[in-house]
Amino acid sequence: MRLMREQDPRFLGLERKIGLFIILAAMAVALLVVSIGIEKDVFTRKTLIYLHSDSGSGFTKGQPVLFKGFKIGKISDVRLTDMGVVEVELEIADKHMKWLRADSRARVEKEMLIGDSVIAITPGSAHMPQLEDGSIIAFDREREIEELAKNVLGEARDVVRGIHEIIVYFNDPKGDFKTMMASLNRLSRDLETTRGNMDRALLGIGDASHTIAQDVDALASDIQTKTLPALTSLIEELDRRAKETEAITTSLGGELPALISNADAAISDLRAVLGEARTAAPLLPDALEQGTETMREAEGFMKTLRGHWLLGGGGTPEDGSRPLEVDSHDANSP
Amino acid sequence: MTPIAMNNAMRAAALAGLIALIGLAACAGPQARMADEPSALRQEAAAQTLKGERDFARGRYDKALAHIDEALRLLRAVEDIDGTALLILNRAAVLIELGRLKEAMEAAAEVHGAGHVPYPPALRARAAFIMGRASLGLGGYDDAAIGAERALDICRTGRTAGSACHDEALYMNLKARALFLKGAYEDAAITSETALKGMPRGDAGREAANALRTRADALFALMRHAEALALYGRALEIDKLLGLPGKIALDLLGMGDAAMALGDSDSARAYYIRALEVSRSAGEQAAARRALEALR
Repeated sequence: MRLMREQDPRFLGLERKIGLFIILAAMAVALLVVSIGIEKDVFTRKTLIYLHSDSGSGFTKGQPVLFKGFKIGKISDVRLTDMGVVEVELEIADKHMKWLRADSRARVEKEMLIGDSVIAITPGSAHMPQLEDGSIIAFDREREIEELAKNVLGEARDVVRGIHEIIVYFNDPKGDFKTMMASLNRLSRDLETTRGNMDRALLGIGDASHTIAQDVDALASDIQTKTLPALTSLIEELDRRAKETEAITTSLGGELPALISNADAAISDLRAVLGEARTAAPLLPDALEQGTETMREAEGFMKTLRGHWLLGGGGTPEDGSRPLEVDSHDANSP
Repeated sequence: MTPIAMNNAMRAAALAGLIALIGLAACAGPQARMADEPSALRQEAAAQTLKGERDFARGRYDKALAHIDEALRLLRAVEDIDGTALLILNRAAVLIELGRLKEAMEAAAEVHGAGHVPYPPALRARAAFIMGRASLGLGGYDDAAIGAERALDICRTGRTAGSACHDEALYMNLKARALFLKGAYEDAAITSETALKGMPRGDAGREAANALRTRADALFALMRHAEALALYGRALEIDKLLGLPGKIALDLLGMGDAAMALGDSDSARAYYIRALEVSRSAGEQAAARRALEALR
């Protein structure tokens, strides 16, 4: 027996309404769970493959496994085997296993170089068999950034050492470079000096040229002021005399032929005399001198001859007088 | 008349006058010993001799030899024995200057070795000297010393007999030089000193310089360098007065050697350079070579 009858319409069939709500909510949650599960590949069939490494660094559970940039799985486990080898378990979706071949290789990569690490798998060759569940995929450990930096640092050290040696070589005061620079400095100083000397020489030449130009000017001025007027007056004088001569010639016109023929004869004679005199003239002084010398020699010779021992003048052969002197010292002997 | 013809005429006139004067002198000469024909030959011989002597003094030895040969021919024709002997010795002197030493020796031997002819001692002594001098030039130092010794003996013997002998110092110089070249330095020094003492005081002739130089050479060889240097200097002064470049070069070389031995290399170098300049200027090849070697 119901003791009370519900009269509010809002509460009529309340149990049915609540039940329906709970059923719908449960269905939504279930749907949500399923969708999340689908999203998370919970319902995807997976294949497990493994890779071995000598170090576990760079591997974390849940780390994505990429193939050509697409996520195909994740790291499901990282453990150390009894042999001391790090074994990494990879969960790969079955639909993606077809890309993984026996010669595929896995490596750790950094997204954007310093981002999170991912496992990247290379395609492998098409003719190679597909990896199966439990297969071990080959692993290439990419060098970490720190290791890269160490290598770069080592190489940088070598470079720095080389640069240091070069600097030492260049700084060596007795080395080729310093010596060459010193020579170049001396050469440049000498060039400066030479240039200075050349400048002075050029100045000297300039001065000399200026002096020559001045002398030429003075000469031109003298010619203009003195020589030309003198020549002009000379020409005028000659002109005057020519006119006088013309007058004389005119007056002598009748007598000229006779005068000329006489003059011709006289000139011929004069030429002959002058020719002989010209020939003899240079010899005259010599002839006079030779004649005087000859007379002087003859006088001296006669004087000496008068006293010669062969003619009874002083000195006799008995006492060896007038022998020619002989040098007792031979200059050519040692 | 052309000037050349006038010149020739003047020469002809001078020669004619000369011949005329010779003829007058021959006629008027109080001591003419020959007849006219020989007198003319003597006169010609005298003229040739005089020309030879003048050419010798001027260094024209080839011409001097030609004149003396002509004079000899003329004198032999008149058998003037003493004159011939002197001319032979003069000829030998010219041959020495020409470097024809063996011929000089043979010519002098004609006077020295002619025992049958009584040549005066002075001429024989001179002949021995010339033979010794020729030997010196030929490198025969022993023969040179013997010749000088023989000349001295004849000279002194002749003086004793009343004949004149004026060339004793000359013969001693030759002996000293020969002794030095033989390596008898002490004897050479003593002999040259004796020769100097025998010369008139203040003599500035060639033989005085020779004696000084020979003594300096000997003293240098005896390591008495300072004395040698002083003597070379005195010889140099005389040779410079006489104008004998070959001897000047020798004196300067000696002074250079002495200065070098005394440790004065700067002075030695200066002397050698002077010797080189003098010898080059005078064409003295041997002295120039010595100077160059000393400067190296």
